[in-house]
Amino acid sequence: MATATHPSFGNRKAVLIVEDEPLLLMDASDMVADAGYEPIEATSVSEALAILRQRDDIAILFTDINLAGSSDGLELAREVTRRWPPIAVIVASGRHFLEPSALPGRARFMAKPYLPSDFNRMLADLTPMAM
Amino acid sequence: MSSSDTADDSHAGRAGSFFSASAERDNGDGPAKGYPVHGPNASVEEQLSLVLEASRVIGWWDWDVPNDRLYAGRQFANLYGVDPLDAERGEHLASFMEGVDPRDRDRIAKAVQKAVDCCGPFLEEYRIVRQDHDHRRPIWVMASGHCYGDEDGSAVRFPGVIMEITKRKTSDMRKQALIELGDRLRDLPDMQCIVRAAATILADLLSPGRAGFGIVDNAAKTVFIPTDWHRADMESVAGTYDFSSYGPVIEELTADRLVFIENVEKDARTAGSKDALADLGIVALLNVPIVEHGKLVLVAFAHNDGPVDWDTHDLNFVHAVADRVQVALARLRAENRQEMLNRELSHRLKNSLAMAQSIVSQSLRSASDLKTVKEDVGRRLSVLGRAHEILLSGSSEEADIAMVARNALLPYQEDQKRIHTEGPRIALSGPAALSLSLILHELATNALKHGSLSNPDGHVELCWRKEASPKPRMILRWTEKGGPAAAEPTRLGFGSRLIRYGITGATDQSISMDYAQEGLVCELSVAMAEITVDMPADPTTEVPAATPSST
Repeated sequence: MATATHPSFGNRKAVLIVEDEPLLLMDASDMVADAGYEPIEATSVSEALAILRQRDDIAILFTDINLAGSSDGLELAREVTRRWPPIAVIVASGRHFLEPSALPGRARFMAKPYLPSDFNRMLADLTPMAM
Repeated sequence: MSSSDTADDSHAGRAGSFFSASAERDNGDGPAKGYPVHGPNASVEEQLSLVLEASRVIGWWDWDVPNDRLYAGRQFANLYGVDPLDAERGEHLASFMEGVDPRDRDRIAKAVQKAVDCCGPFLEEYRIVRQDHDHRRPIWVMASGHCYGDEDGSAVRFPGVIMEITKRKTSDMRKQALIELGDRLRDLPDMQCIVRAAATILADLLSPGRAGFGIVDNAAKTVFIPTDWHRADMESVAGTYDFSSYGPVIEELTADRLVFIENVEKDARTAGSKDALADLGIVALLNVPIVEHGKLVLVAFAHNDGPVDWDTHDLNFVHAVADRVQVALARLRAENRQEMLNRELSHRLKNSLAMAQSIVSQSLRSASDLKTVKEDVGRRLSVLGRAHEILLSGSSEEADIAMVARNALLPYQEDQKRIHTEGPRIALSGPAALSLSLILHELATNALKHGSLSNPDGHVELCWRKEASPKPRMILRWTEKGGPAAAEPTRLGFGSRLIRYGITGATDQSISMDYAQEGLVCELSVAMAEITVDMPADPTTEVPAATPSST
C-alpha cells in the first residue's frame, strides 16, 4: 500500500488505520492527516501486525472490527493492548455496538459511520494518554 | 338427595350408616352378598343404596362426624382401592384422605373442613391415587355431599355421592392444555423453552415416565432431542440420535405412521433394540411423527417403564401438541432469520452511508469547483447504486462480472461502444462487485479525461480470465489504445488511490499500472477465493486451506 513515511515526525506521531473498505480507509486517512498525524494504512490484521513490528512511532491504532482474513479487529486490539501498551486503541464498527467492558484495556469504541468531528474529538481525547 | 328426616335419625348416635348397607352382609354366599336387602321390606335408604350400587357409576358415603366413622358403598371403596367390607364397617376419614392425590389433598381437606364448620355443601373434583395403579394416570372423581348439624350447629353427619369423571376430565384438560399451549408457545423465545413447555403438558396428561420431542435432520439422518420431561426415577434422553438407532421404527415414522408399542420386548419392531430400550427404562413406547411436505420433521415421544392406558384420544392429543410445537419451531426459525436479515440490512445501510459519506468528502477534496463536485458525487453514487441493484436482483448475494462491468461503464458507452469487454463468467461476492464497479468507473473517468477515450478514435479493451494454478486467480486487464501516451499522475486523486487499493477485502492481490506509450495498462490479479461467494463444501473440488497470504 502506498504510504509516505516521515521519521522526522518525532516519537509516536503516527496513527495506524486498519480498514478493508478502501473508500473508508481513504477517508479515515485524510481525517488523520487533517488532525496533524501521520496516517499509516493497513487493510488486514496481518498487514497491521507487520507494520507494528517494524515501527516504534505509532501513537494510536484505529481499527475496524469486521476485516477480511482469519482474524478480526478485536483480536488485533487485544494483541496491541498486550504487546504495545503505550499505543492507544480505537475500535470502530457499524455492525456491533460495544460497551467499554467488551473492549480490551482502555480501548475506545467508535460507531460507524462517523464524522470528522467525532474522529477529531476522540483523537484529542486519546492523545495525552498516548504520550 | 337426602331428607332432613333421615339426617335427624342418625344424629341420635346410632353407629349404623345412612344406607344401612352392612345390615345383611353375613346373610349368605350368593352373588348379592354384601348388598342391601332388596324387596318390599327394604327401607327407602336400602333401595336407594341398591340403585346407586347398581349404576356402577355412582358411589356413596356417609360420615358419622362426631365418631369419625365413614361408611361407604362398594363403588366408593373400589375407587379408593379400599376393601369394600372395611368400608361397610366404617373407617376413619383419614384412611380415605390418604387415597387423595397429594397434589389435591390440602385443597380437599380444607373443603371438607369448611363443609363441617358451616354445616354446608361440599362439591369438589380431585384425583385419587391407588397403589394398584402405579405409574398410571390418576383417577379423577367428582364428589358432592352435604354436612348436617344439630341445633347447636355442630356437624353430625356428612353424606354424599362420588362419581368417576376421568374421561370427561382428561378430555377437558386436553382441550384446555391445547389452548394454553397455543398461547404459551406464541411467546416463548427459544427452542428449549418451547420443547420443555410442550413436554410438560404431555407429561401432565399422559403420566408417562418420560416425554419430549426430537427434531429431525433429514440431511444428517439424525434426531435431536434438545431437552425432555422425565420422572425423577428416570433419566433424560436429551441428545442426538442416529436414524439407525431407531431400527425399523424410523421407517414407519418417515412414512407418517404413528408407532405405539405397549411392550417393546414383545414387538418385532423393537426386538432388535430391546436391550438398549431396557437400559433407558422403556417398556411402553409412543412415537408420533410430524411430516411436512413429505419429510419427517418432528417426532413426539412418550415412554413408560410399566403398562400404560393411552387411548386414541391420547394419541390424537400427542399429535395435536406436536403439531403446535412444529408451528412454534417454524415461527422461531422465521423470527431468527428475520432478525438476522434486519441486522444485516442495518449493517449494510450504515456501510452504504459510510461509503457515500466518503465519496462526498473525497470528491470535495479533489475537485476544483462546486460543479465538478456535484458531477463527481452524482456519478460515483449512481455507480454504487447500480451495483447494489445487480446484487439485490439475484436470488443469491452475488453478481456476474460481465454485468458488473456493463453497469459500471454504462455512462461511457451511451453513444458508441468504446470499451470492449471479454471474459468468462465469474460470480462476484457483494463487496467485490461494489468495489470492482467503483474501480472500473474511476478507470473509465480517467480514460475520458486523460487517456484513450479523450481521443475520438481511442478505445479500451477490458478482459479477464481465470488462472488455475497454483491457486485459482482472476487476472483482469484494462488496456487503453489509440489515445495519447500515458503519464503517471503527479498527485494521487480519488480515482488513482481507489484503484491502487484494489478489491475490497482481498488480501491476496496485486495491482500494476503501466503508463505505456500506447496508453495505460492496468492489471489486477486477485485470488479467486477472495472475490467469490463461499460455496458449500463440494467434494469434487479441492478447497484450499483458508490462510490468505498478506500482500
